[in-house]
Amino acid sequence: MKSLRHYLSVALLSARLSVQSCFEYPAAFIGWLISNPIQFLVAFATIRFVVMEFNDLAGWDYKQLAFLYGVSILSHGLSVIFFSKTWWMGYQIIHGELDRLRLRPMNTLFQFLLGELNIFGITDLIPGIILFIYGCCAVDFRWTLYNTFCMICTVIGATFLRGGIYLILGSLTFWSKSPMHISGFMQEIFNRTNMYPLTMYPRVVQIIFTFVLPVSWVCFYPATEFLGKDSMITLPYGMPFITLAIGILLFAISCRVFRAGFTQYESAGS
Amino acid sequence: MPVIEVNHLVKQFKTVKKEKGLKGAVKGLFKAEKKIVTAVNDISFSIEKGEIVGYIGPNGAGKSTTVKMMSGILSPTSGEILINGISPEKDRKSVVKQLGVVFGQRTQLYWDLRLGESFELLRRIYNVDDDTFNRNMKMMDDILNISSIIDTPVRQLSLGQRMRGDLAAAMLHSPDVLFLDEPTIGLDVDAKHAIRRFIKEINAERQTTVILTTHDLGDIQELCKRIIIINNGVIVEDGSLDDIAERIAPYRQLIVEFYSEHEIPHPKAEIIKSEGAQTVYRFRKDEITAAELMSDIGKQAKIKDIRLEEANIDDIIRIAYNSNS
Repeated sequence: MKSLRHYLSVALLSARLSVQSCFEYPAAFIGWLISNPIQFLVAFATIRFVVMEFNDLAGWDYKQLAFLYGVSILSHGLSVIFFSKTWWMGYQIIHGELDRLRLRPMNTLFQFLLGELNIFGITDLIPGIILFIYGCCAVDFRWTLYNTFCMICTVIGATFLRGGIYLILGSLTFWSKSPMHISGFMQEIFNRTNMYPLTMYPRVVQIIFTFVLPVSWVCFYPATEFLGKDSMITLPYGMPFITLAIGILLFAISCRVFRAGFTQYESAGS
Repeated sequence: MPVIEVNHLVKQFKTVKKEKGLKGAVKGLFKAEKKIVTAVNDISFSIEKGEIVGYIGPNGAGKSTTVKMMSGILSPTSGEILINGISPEKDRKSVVKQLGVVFGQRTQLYWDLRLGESFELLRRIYNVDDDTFNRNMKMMDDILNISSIIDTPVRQLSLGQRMRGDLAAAMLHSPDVLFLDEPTIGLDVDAKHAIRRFIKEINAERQTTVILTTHDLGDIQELCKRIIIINNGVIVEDGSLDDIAERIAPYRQLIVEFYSEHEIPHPKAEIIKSEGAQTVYRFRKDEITAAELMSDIGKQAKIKDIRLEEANIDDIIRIAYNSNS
């Protein structure tokens, strides 16, 4: 309990310092704030165009697609704030910049993830929130107690799911000794795949994104339940909880991978 | 009980052998030849509370690797390290609570924020109570004049100021042991002086054990009663500077100036230079004293002036470095 309070107080102070660091570069922040939402707007315009041409995509109309995308981008924004440092951790490993984490009497992964938040991720989160609200309004999402709970499980699960995969990919540098930077690519896979209903893809692709690389759990499967759509897997209810479970499981695995990787850590000369 | 015990410590790194040119690079992609490099090869030493130990050696000798293993950053390939009886590999958190570590080439401070914020964060991390924190800050202020830079963002500090900040940050939780990896690298004379004074004072006032790696022989002469010299991953010397000098360079030089040109040989001293009226004798301390030599020579010719020189520390260190390469 005491140690939990200790960790919490360090996390809060670190978060405050991250915000303060961000304020040191206001011009950069504004630049991101203007440029970052554009990519989501363009993606949205694409959806709109596609639906106008084909009326629907695998049975999903424009409003439902807006909802799907909104849920996806909300968890994207959160994962950028908490996990985007894993995208360039390869460089830190090669340049020996993780030494500091070992020198302090706290959990290494805790310090790595929460010691410095990427406050610039707010420029992803803001469009995420706007798209999410827009999508919920479009499908007239009913905020009952149960639905709200399911939505929270989905968003938290999706954030951990994304973060867990980023952390696993980032940790591979511990072994490869050369930064791979595949997480940026992974982020594209997450966001592109979840723009469209999984059911429009060939069955092989559906199986891959469901069981091998579980990207469709980020929002597609929970959305099928919220909207009453069909998919490869039909469950009466519980999709959001599966998303949460997969998210937590992947995150737990990624913690193990990170820890195992650190035994291979070699720092850097002098 | 010693504060630090290192027994048969070994650290090996796997590296891939690179071949020349583009052809070699392409070949390396398919058939990588692994090579094991031994950075630290079976070293042992123990350090008592309150010692200041200079841990020196040429570049690439294994100094930083040893410090990184002692501070829990790297795991040893084999062998054992105990800090106050605890192994950093097994119980890192307990060990690092008692350690302060400063790497001269790399800051531990928050780059974008005022120095004080880094202290505040460290205070939280180490759970330092108000009394201790204020007392330590006051002491750091007295020795390092921290209050003049505490409101400056770290990125705007000069190298010397930043190093002062790093040292203060390492001392906030009153550690028993301080590892300093090249703390005076790149600093001007004044800044070096401040850092040396800091090391002396915390050692005197708090009995802090200090292990210092450096290439600055001034640091060693001024601070270290004991030096450990490592080369190619092996300890080649361990003792006081005087003892080491005695063993590997037990010579002194007597420079004698006569009134006119003389060359007077002596059975126990070697003439290494004779120029005009000046003659340089080299002799071993254990064979003859300077006074005896002087009086023997003085019987044969009138001496105008004399000067006595000890073996130069640069030469001693260089001999030690070359003894195992």
